Amino acid sequence: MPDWRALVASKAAGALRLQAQGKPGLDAATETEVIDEFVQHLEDCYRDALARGATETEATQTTLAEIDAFDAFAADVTRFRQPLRAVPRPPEPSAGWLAPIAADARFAWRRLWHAPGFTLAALATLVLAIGANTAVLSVADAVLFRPLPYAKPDRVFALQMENRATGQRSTLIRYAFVAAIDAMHPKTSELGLIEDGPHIVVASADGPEIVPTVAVSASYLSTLGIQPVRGRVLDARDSGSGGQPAMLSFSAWRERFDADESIIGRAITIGDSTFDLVGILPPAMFFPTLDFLVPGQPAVMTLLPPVSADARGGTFRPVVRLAPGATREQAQAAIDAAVAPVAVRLPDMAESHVVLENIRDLLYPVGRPILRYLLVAAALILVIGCANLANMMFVRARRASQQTAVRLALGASRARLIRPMLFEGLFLGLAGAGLALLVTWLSFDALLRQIPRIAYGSAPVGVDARVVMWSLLLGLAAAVAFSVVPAWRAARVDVLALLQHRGTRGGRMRFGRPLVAVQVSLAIVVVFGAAVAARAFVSVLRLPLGFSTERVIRVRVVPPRETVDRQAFYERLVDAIAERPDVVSAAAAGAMPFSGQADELAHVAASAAPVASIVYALPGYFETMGVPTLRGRAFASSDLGADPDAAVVSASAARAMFAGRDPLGATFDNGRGRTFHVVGVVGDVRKGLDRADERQLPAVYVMPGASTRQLAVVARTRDRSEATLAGIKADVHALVPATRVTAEWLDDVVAEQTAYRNPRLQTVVLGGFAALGLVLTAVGIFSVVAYLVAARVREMGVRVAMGATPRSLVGLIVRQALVPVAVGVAVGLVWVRWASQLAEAQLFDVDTHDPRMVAAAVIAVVVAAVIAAYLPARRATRVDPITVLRAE
Amino acid sequence: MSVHPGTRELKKGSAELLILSIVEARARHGYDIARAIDERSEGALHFHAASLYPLLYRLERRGWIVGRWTEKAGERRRRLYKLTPAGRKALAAQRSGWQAFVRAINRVAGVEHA
Repeated sequence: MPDWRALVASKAAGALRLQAQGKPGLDAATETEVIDEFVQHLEDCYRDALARGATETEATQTTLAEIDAFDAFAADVTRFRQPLRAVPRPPEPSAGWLAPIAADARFAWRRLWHAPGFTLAALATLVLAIGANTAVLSVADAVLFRPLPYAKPDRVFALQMENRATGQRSTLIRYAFVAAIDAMHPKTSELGLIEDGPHIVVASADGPEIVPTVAVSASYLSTLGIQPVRGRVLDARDSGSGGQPAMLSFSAWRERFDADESIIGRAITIGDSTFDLVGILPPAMFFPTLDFLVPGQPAVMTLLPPVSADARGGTFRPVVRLAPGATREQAQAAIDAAVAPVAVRLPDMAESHVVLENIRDLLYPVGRPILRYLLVAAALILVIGCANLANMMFVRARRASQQTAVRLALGASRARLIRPMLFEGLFLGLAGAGLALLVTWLSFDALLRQIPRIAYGSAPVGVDARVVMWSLLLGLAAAVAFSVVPAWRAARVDVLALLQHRGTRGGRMRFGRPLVAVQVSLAIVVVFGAAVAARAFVSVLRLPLGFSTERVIRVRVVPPRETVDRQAFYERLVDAIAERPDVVSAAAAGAMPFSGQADELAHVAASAAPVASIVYALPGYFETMGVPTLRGRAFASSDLGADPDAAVVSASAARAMFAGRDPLGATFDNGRGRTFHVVGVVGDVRKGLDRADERQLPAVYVMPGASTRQLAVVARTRDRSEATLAGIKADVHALVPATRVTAEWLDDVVAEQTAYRNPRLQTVVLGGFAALGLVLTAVGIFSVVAYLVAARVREMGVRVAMGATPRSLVGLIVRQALVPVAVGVAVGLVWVRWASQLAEAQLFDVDTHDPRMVAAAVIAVVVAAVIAAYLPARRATRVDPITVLRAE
Repeated sequence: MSVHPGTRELKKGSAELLILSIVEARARHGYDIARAIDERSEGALHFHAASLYPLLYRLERRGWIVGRWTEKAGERRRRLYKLTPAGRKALAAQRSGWQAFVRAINRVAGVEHA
């Protein structure tokens, strides 16, 4: 169509605005309107003429006739045309920099709205890819990143006792060490102690209720930098004052005292205890070293009584705050110097020293590496997803390239071409992140049940503002990642070639293939990670434990304070439980397998260092736990009175202690003057699932004696029935009223204690991720190959015409599609080396260098790739050469 | 092209009546009006753009029609002309005047009704 506007504009130049010659004229706005209307008329006229069958030349002549008398028209128009009343006009492009951007955003929105297939596919990809990250983040953020609720939390550390010989660490530290460290101020500015306080028993309608309490040193709260929500914190003023100064937890204040402000500074009574309330702890109070000390949050915090410097016992779980400017290394060196003389004085502590421990490492000993591992996997999924989206965007842009060329030819700036695609990416990214958050939020409880509690402890997990922010940021980052390059590439079209319908050369898809290579390489890493986890899981399942937890109930009960003979107390409980018809056998023991603890350490004359860990056990323990007796005999009931110093050793302890000698009849001692003689050898019991657990000392078993620590009662039942559990609990309650009794299936206890070393979680999550990675990669390859086939229809037509068979066509396309796959495999193998280092750091007790696992990952990805390429390649065989060539 | 000898003067005098009649039923844009006149007169009457728009503007200035830019989704904006109440009265007056004129001419020229 001729440019009628240019023609009218040239004719109208000056003719409509005649002010210069003193005649009435039109203002600029009215002139524009008149010309607009006139040009429309001419365009309509031209189009109508063509529609009636005129040639272009005839149509042009017809239309030109309409403006023959333009000068007369101009004169008339200036006489009659009124300045217009205000008419709503679309926003002027010159109205500011925002207007065109808003227009592009609307354009992007409309494009998405009118392509629901693309939009839904993109959203589904994003929800899966971002959702994987949101789900992991909702747990990982609290465990890995969120600052702990203390003042300058990175300056606060826990102190741990480390046994150099066994590598075991414990937060229980003798007061002599604590006092030595506390005395050397400048390097650690403050040191706080915490202990579990006496349980308060409150009678209620549902039976006795236990109110947990903790006791802290006067400096504990200031060491952490805790601010009270009401009143003040416990501090040095309170020590030595009469009465029992205390703080209440926020929840206890609300639930027991209805958040009554007036009680602060007054005496309060809980059960039979009276406290002088000085303040209320913050709701997010988070005890760094108390996680497994007290079930649930302690309700009352009191002051520790002063400890005498020569106190022998004491287990104080200290926290320290580094002095301003001091590094962790300096502080550790100062602590080493301070405790060395103390360790010399305490013979049983010769192998021990005190180390600073990162609080997060202490709280989440294995949650952190697991979650880091899962975060990396989730991030890889996001990259794979983004590669798919970039491909989809790019293909879409190529389909619209004619339109793009026209817009460019008409003078659209490249910015206006790129911006709508960026907006599309932005809308998709934010909507995807929003949906992913919604899905995670709705399914969070179900997700959390899959994760062993020990991985996150009492961390405040969940979808909160930080997770929302992170996810939206991920959505934005993803949007940029998958839309910028395609947008930029799309704007670089060859305008001339497109306008002349030449198309682009051969659909080579220089963009899609590198993306396929990236996807393939990452998919290999994810699948490999899942294979490593699965293998670790299988090896854990195959691991012989040396004992059986099946149908075993563990009962824990604290002997009443006035109990004189604690061993006899447990004997009575065991007898009572063993009498039940639904119980096969019962016994009691101290340090249970998988607890990582020892009741005492065993010494033999030849060596000063302990050679075995002593486990307290009552007769019947080996039968109940299913530990086989290999030589000699197990404990008998008669031993309790007749032979209290009889001992049973495990096979590995027998080898370690009495190398070469007959263990039966051999002796060892506990380093405190009690000597035992061996009466039997039993099978080894696994101490944990880690290689590191094997460094623990082998076990020997002795009967504890009257002053035993708390024991666990174990009972093997005839079948796993909850009635038995409840019945046993009731029996114990009847024997020991007003005490807390817990009864659990040992299966569950071990599962909970070992779940974090048990890669079931990683296997399930990574398996899901691997499936997701494979599917996304396959979809990516599918869409690239489908596009290539569509773009090469002419070529395929020619090939068919020249006698190519369908088989050879499919083979050609699949082979070509596998070139980027091969590149991806090569790159993926490099990634795998890096991934295996990461995996080995994650407690998996597996050999990651097994070539079979790498091969499995590669084969899985390549098979998925071949299928994904084969399906669209088959379409090439349906090309009808006649149709294709006729169109040429 | 379509200057039909003998109709030029008639057309000029009756142009206002034609336009008002065309927009009586509904609002129309300029090209639409020109085409409607073309079609209803079966090609006998044709307005060039250069003469149509001054007429439209003149009628608008008199307040008989009113032009308004309107926009429909997916189309460019168009200036639609609509009959005003004043225009409706003027149309009625011109119609009866024109019929009286035609009857008078017929009587003088002796043209019989078909």
